[in-house]
Amino acid sequence: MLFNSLTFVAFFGVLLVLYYALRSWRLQKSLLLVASYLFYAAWNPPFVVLLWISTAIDWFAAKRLGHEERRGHRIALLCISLGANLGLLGFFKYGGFMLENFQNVVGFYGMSFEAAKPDIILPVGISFYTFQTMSYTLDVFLKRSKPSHSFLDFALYVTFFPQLVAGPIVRATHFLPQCETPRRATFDMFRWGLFLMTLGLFQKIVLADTMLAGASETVFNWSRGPVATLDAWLGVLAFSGQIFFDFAGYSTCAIGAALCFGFSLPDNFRCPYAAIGFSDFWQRWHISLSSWLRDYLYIPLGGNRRGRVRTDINLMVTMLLGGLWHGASWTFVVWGGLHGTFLGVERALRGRFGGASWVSSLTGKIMLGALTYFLVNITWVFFRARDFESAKLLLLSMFGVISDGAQVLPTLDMVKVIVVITALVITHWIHRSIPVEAAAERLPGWAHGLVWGGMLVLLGISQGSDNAFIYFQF
Amino acid sequence: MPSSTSSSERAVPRLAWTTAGTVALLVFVVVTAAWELHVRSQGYAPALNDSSDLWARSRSLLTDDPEQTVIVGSSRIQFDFDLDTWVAHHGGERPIQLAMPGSNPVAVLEDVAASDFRGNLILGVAPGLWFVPEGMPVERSEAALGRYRNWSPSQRVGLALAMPLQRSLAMINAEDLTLTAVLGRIELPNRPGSLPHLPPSEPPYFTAPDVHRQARMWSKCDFGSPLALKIQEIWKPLFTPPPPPPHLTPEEFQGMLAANSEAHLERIRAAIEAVQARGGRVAFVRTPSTDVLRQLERQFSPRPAFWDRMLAVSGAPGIHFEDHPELAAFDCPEWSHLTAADAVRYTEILAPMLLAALDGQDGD
Repeated sequence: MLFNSLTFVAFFGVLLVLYYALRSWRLQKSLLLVASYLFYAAWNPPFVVLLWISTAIDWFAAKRLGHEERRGHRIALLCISLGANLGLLGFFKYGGFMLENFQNVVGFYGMSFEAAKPDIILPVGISFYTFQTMSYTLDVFLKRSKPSHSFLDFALYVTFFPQLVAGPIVRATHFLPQCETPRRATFDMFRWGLFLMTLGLFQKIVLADTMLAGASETVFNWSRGPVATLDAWLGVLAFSGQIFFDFAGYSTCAIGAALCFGFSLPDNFRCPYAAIGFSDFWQRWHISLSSWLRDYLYIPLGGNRRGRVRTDINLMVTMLLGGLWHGASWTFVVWGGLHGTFLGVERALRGRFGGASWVSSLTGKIMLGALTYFLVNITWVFFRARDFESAKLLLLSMFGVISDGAQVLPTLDMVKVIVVITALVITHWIHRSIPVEAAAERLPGWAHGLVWGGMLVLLGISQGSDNAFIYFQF
Repeated sequence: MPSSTSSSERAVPRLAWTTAGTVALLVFVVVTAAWELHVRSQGYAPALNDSSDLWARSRSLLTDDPEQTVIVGSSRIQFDFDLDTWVAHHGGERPIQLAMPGSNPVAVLEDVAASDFRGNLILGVAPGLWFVPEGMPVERSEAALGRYRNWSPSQRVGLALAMPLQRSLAMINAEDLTLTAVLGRIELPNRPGSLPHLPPSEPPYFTAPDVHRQARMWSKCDFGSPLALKIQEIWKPLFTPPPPPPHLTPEEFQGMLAANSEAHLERIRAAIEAVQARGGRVAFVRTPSTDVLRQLERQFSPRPAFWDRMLAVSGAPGIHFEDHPELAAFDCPEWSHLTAADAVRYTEILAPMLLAALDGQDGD
């Protein structure tokens, strides 16, 4: 079920009452586990089986790994876990994509291969929970952690409903220790959790869906030729805000919901549009994925330990696969490739100009931050565009190569984008180094209440909708 | 400083929570109550939203009882056909109302035809909409069908929870009173050379459906009202076909539209044949439209090319309001739909004719 639905409000309320009515920690965890399966089944009940498969295979693989010292056997157990998870992901998410590319390759060599287009429904959140369970088995394989001694704890780690379908991708080392002792939210934790849930829903429903989605969809769905330069830029800027508020909104809701039950989830976003450079950006955007890719892909590939060229290759491979993680399309691969390229260029420039005084001056930081945001927006074109042709057309419009495009945005949408994106970027810069908790402490109680109440009012008037979060499709 | 307790624990700010919570609650309650009172003072009343979930609920009733009377079409038959008046003439349950505002109903007709349905099928015809090749009217039907086919448990529960709220609060109005709709009423001049809004704007809220999706025109849309006049202006671009795309000549465009009409006619014929083969009975109903809108329909959807062809190709009977002076006597405040009171009177006159048309198929 969606956080932005009445069903979730009822589910969450009932669950809270039941959770705090129980006295046994084991029963409380069991309740959370059953509720999490219910949460997932509310979309499509049969897909719960996939969760069970992923949970069971990783549980047994890790358990055996905990006792197994023979290298060959350990590798075999790891392969079973990775094969099962990547197999699920490959079949459900990349099956159609692989078939299409196979047909193209075969066609390129003059042969013909026609297969029925597979009618596969993508199970929501599959990329998130498969990566989460794989990290557990990989940690046990790499002897970074021991296997869990409790199947209930492990199943809850895989399935915990706040982060199940769109992250943050939580590590077992972060979550499982929390299952060992009873979790009860203090009043402050509970109220802060509710505030974070309000903030997350406000980001999603009011800022992403109401203020920015219209302009973004008008520009990216325009199929009658090029759009005007101003419209192209505003459409891309709108998407940059939409995807941030949509995804960060989900993460904020997830963190808040978990907090209401006394659980802690890690941050997933830290003001990414105030990033100075791409390495900084990836420490601020979808942190749980970037750290996953760093720990389980980039570093095992050799990281930066094998010379400059190999480092650049490792970076590029990591980012290309990171792009592909987002979706079964070459446009996502190009998005990842651009990020890999920018990271590589940044590394080279840092080695050459990193010590220059202007780089660390305020003006230098603002200029580099603006350049980063500009380049991030270029990459969003490939992330959001339907195909390469429409991405090309949009980029040509953005850079004025096509100057007679259609003015498709009404003034009201333009004002919305300018106001919200300006506020977003300024807020990110102001709070660049200040966590939201510290920012909240600076406000007097009445001002905090006004902000909270104002968000609740706008949520009520927005009335929500059943717009799914963008990252569900990943 | 945040009161963080350990590296795996989240920091929780120290705040004057009592003050913050009290102010937040006060702001929420006071402003929401004021907004509710304000919209009620504007004439809005609590009513259900004609959402895709409500449509999916109606569609699922057909699965439960395939011998029901079913209505397929667009908003005109949803407004103009009074379900209770029909029940008074025909007996049985209220018909299943599957008509959808602004939609091309062909996909819904095909869906009904592909089910076990074998009851009475009433097809409401707004001629232009049945032959729209693409865009919002087509997407609307497909989206509703998609919702029904993938209707999740969460969405079912959500509808059950939403209906009591919608019946209690006037401010819950998905068409007119969302933040998007409220902001959309801010009138800012567009840039010179901006394209007109595509697709053309849709009319604002002017009907309140009940749980069976019986739509009744809002009293604020009465004859000569500002709302009725505003909607009249909205119909003009909506019922005027777009110009040919740049890559087609007018002749090529006309040829494309003609081919599309033939394809739609064939889909309609095949669907009706499938229904009739199972013992279902089918009749078309052309509800009234008036004034400038009727002129636009004559120009762009002439009767011989559309209504007459639909009947001829499908072999199903039809009742056109212009063939019956008592039906043609009705007037529409905004040229396209009847008032709630007129819908009852219209259905009283229509029902015997419709029953005769449906019964006439029993001997076939």
